[in-house]
Amino acid sequence: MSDGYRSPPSPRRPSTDRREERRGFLDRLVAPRSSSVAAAMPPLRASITRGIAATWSTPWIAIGVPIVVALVWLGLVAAGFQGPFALLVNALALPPVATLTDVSLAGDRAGGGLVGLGALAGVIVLRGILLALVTSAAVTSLRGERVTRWFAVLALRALPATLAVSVLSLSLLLAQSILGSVLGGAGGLGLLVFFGGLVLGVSWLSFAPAIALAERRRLGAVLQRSVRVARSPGSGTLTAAVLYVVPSYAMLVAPGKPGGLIGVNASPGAWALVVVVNLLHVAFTAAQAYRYLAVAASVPEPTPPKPSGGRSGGARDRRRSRR
Amino acid sequence: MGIALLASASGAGAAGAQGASDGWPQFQGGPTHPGSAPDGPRPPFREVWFLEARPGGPTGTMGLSAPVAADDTVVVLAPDAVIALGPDGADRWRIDRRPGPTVAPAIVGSGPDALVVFPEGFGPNAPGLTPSPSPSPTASSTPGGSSPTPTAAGAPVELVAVALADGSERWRTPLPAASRSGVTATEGALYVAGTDGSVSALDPAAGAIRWSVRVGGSIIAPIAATEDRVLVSALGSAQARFSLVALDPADGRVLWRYEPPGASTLGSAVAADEELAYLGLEDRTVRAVALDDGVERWSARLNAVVNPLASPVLVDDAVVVVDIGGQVYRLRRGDGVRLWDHALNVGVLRGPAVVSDRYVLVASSQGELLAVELDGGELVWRASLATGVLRSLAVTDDLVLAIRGGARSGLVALAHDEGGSLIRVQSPTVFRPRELGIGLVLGALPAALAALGIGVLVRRRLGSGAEELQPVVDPLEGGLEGGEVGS
Repeated sequence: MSDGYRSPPSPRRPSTDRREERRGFLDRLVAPRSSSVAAAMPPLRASITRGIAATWSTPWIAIGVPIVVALVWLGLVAAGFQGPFALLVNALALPPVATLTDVSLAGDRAGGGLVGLGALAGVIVLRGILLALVTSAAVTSLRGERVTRWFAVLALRALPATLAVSVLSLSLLLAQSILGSVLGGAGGLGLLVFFGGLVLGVSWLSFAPAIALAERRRLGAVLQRSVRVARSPGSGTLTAAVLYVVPSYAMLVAPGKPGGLIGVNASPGAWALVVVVNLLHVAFTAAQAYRYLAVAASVPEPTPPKPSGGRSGGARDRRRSRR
Repeated sequence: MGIALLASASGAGAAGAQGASDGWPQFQGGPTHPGSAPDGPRPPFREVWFLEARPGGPTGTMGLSAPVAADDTVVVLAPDAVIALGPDGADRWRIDRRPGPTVAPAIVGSGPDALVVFPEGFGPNAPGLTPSPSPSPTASSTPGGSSPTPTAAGAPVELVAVALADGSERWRTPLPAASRSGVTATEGALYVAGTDGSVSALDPAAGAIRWSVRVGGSIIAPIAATEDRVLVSALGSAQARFSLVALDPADGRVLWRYEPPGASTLGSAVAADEELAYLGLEDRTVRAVALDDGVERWSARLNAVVNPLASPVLVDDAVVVVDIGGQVYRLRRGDGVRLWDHALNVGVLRGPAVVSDRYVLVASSQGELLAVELDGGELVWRASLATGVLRSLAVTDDLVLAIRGGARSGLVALAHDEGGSLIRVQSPTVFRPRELGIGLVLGALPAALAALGIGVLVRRRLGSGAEELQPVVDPLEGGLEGGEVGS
């Protein structure tokens, strides 16, 4: 089997896509949208099936998930957290859904101020590491390779991207909170902002870890590319994000679920629920990785800056020549 | 408009010897809201009598006030009546009351001169009432000669004193606004707060107002009073933050104002000892504030907020608080260190906990009464007493009194049950590795193995799928334009 890379593409792609470009603010920021992605994007159901096959069939993941959840829970209990255990249903969720849990846990244990900020930073780093590990195992399995312990080494490549995704998710929640408090009383607009932020976060950021693993790009380029895939018309990424965010949040707040009460000794039912939901999160993470890997070659590269004669570049050149 | 009051004979007479003697004459048993009755009955309990009272008032949903008791008499306010009962639940007297909030009255003094003091009237913001410009015809003049000031609509607001012995009226005094705080009585003064943020001090003998000040916000929690401080929890609003305000009992001067960081709107009622005032805040903390200067001494974090109508309980060297999730905490008074906690996992949305003998009693929104041992924090007794909310506990030497909602709403009295038995249940917050391990083995492991089996089956059926993936571009090899490639 090859090393997973192929020869560079011919430089025709940008020129064919340019006809479909719709230039807007985001187009300038993250490169234009491309409909060529939609044609190659696998359907959501097939992607999730692939995600389940890739992750649940891997002992490292299927057995690793309850172990990670148990370790996180023991760490939280050691730090004085008393529950509810069911808060961990989103322990391995994609940011920013998982970031909701992170903020809640850090705030609960450390309160506000510098201590709280430090705790939040620690949790965000842990989130980045977990996301890198999960994505690494998922991508390795999706490529048809055996997941050995080396997936942890491979995860290092994704770490900058997963940390950035965690930080960006936190920033998104902060912005949401500010905007939500302004719009809170305006007929449910606050709620719309809340869910809109989560959906946008999942949609735009969820491809970044797989991109970082599969392609050696700079962090900024990884994030740009993730947004570019998400914004591809007809790719269904927004629908996938909605279908992911709504049940995830509903599961977090659903009353009467096992493990929903204060207490540190979780029941078998609570364990089963938390493990199954986290396995589904891992499967969705793999599904997003699968979706990216399926369209990777169809995602256009950003248009290179024109050497001279452009609107802004030309003005800059003229200023330079005057000097 | 009134509520139907039906004397129920359930167990009446059985508690004839169980007198409601001195000890719980106002909210949480005293002006500092200790909430503790060391000589109160111990669990298990049994119901000894019951006063049925259907909800009433302008909205038809108002229940009875928190009960108070002194001199073998239990007093409770209905929306349009004041009811005094004997220790066996038999009627002593009952008088009409102008419709008003059902807040805790206070019993002042003892013997033949003892008074029951209570506010009446909703003022202009009466729930469910059409504003009326004419004053209520039942308004009467005060002994001091001042007549009640009718408010723009609804019934005028007055503070009324009647004799504990027979319910005969002694005085009535107009108040600036409707009171949801109830009455706090010290040896020499009465304090009552209005929903408009006003606090008034009155002479208990004649009802004359000594001073009246506005502290801002809206006040719904009972006032706490020590010898040299009147402590008021003023809720936050669009104009002002939540604050704990200390007033000089002599003239109502503001001595200090504590505005807790992190809590801008809600705070609980206050309990105080000689040095500190204790209250719960909306940021899920309990804080202790020095009475001298209003400086915060310590803050302890809880798992949920304390409801705004509750106050911490002071017992021994500890503060006992219950949050709205039903978790009971025993905190050290000096520094707020948690000595134990017990997560009852029941809703506690109305009223504070109390301590009777050496047991913390908690009334739940699901109608249960629960007893937690004060020393070890173990649950020792629980019973369902209502189909609706159980709330507003009061304790005398022999009785535990509670207000219950639901199908048989009213005032229920409980006494120690010699034939009953206790349980002993540890808090679910106590870490038990064996129990956790059983959960992990019986819950997590089967789930993981089932997932593994499903995953293997699906993979066998679908294949690895790697061939469907597009080969990934390595930008390093291509030297793509745009400066995307890292070095």
